[in-house]
Amino acid sequence: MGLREVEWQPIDLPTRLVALITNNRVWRSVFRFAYPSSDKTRALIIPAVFFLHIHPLKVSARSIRLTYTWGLGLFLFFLFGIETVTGILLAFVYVPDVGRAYQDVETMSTTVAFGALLRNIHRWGAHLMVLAVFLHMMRVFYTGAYKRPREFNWVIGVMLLLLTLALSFTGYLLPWDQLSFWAITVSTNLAGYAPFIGESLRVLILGAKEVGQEALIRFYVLHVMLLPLLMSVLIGFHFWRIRKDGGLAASNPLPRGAQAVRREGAEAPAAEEDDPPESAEGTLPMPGAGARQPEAPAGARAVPTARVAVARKQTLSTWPNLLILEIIAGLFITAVLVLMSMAVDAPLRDLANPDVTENPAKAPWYFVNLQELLLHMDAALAGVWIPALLVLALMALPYVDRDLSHAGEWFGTRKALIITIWSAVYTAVWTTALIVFDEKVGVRSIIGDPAIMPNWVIPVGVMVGLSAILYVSILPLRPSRREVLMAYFTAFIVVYAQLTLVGSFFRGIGMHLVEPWNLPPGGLSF
Amino acid sequence: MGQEETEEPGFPLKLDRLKLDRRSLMAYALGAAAITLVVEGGVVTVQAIRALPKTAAFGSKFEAGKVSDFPVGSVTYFLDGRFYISRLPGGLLALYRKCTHLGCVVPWRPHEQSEDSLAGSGRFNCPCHGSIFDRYGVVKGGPAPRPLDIFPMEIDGDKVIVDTGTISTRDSYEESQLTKV
Repeated sequence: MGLREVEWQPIDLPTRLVALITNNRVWRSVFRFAYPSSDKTRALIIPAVFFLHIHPLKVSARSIRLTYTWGLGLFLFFLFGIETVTGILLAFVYVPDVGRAYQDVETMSTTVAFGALLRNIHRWGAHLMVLAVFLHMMRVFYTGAYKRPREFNWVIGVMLLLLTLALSFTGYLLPWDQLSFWAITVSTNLAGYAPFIGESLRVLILGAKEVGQEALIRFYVLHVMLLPLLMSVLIGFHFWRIRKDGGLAASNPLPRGAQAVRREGAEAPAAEEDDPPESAEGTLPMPGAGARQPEAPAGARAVPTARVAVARKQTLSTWPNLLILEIIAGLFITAVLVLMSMAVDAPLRDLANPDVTENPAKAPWYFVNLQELLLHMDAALAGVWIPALLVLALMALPYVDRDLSHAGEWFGTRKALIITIWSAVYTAVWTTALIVFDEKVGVRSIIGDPAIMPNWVIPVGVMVGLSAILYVSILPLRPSRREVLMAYFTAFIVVYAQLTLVGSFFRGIGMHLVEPWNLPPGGLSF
Repeated sequence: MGQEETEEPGFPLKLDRLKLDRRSLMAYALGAAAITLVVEGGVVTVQAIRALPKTAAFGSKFEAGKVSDFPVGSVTYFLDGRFYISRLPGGLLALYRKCTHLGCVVPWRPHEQSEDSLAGSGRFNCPCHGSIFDRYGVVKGGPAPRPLDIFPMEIDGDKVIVDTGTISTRDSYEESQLTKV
């Protein structure tokens, strides 16, 4: 490695004190390398330090621009860390027992030092995480960053989305107040509509036929052990894949011919993954980066030297460029969360009462959209089939879009941007119209019989029909397959957001439409 | 897939014909053992986390009073047992209070307009999504997919006993669901 030859020098603050602290065997046994002060040591320190070795030595300048990623992946990583830390602290106080849980949460909010703040951070952090996962998914989609070779990392991302929802959902029950009790009752009954296994699945989740002590301990164990463990493993896998796929998608801005340079020395392809002989992106080899470039014809030797020079300029050393951004991202999201938690208290309603249903009884806000959907069609369709098919469609997306052009660029083409905006407007108008129509007139009042018509046939017909019209309406633009997917992905995001907003802010007693300022007390489910 | 796909080392997999010499037999046995272990682990997990039967309170047999406590047309709420006893002309029906739509508790509204011919007022009205049920537990409005679930009952002397451990679902009301008195 040559690292041992780096001569030890204390940080460039020549004081006696620093020398005293650092010039001894103990310090050096912990920190083996001096603060890196040359390009060489800045590169060498990355793989040599445990907490840095997940990074590449160099990163492409394009891929770390704020306007490319908006830092969302980093925010999520830090939010998960914050949730872990605050969650551990809350766990010192909280006992998952129906006789104690609510009281413990009250104690936390009133008696424990910083308890209210910690609980607020944990609560708002969880909500922020769900929001950030969706924004992150949108970023990756609209920049085409899921394309080959990153397809499977997108699938892992979808799994992480599901895990985030599951973590938030299991945590939702723990305060054991009216909000959590009825939200979990309504949501788990949704799962009961799954064909064949529904009811047994519901009983398995709850550990009983109704929400009670069994459900509380199950949700607790899932929330504090199993799901965080799975999440940690998948986050590691997600990051590892980013490295192995050559960094973020924006790292590969070069046209096809120039990318051939990465295959130089392809005589020994087996060794390539771990030990690329020479990288186009800098003077130092980047482990992992540049491997598996599918476009490059095997054994190609074309090396346009001018391109290589450009490529060198486009990379920055990880230390300090990326590391500083990471620190800023972590500090920024912590600051936002703490400020928010100081301003707004996490809700805590009355003690859970299995005998009195809240009116309205709403699911957690990220499932309110399904509950809203439920008002307009059969519960199995809204609660099981549509979400299940959506998750499958999301996972299949990178395998449907096989066009590799414009990966790592926002929208890619101007046409794609136009299609996205058109789809958003089209979907928003139709969704609003349908919700208002069903409330004011009602499909059931027109064709209520047989029940399969308003429950299945009409909703499915409307959804398929509107999707088909959306497709036909963009045909004059001669869209590529990716642009068609963009129209549909945008439609999904808009509908999801809109149903969430309507379900959260416009549904009052009996789930009837109401203006947000007339919501009954307890009409929000955050 | 694409014609420009480069070959990965080791791909495509080349499958030889199955060999059954001593070494490969051991390898298959090891693989089979590993798969068995995973399956067994799955079975143990599912069995271990299954819901346990209740021994007291809701989920067990529940004494609801005397037959004479229930005049025809009356609906009586049992908070601890989580059911209503509806007295119909032919007998008794123990209705589970849980809405068949999404599980909210369905309150009995004695002053709302009746949905059946047994009395002038009174019906079940779910607060969550507005499902309406009559004294038979049959859906009269709203999104609920089936009538209120029922519990089996027995009459011991004149005592009414409701078994809340067994929940029966039904698609419609039938005379046979009644416990005759």
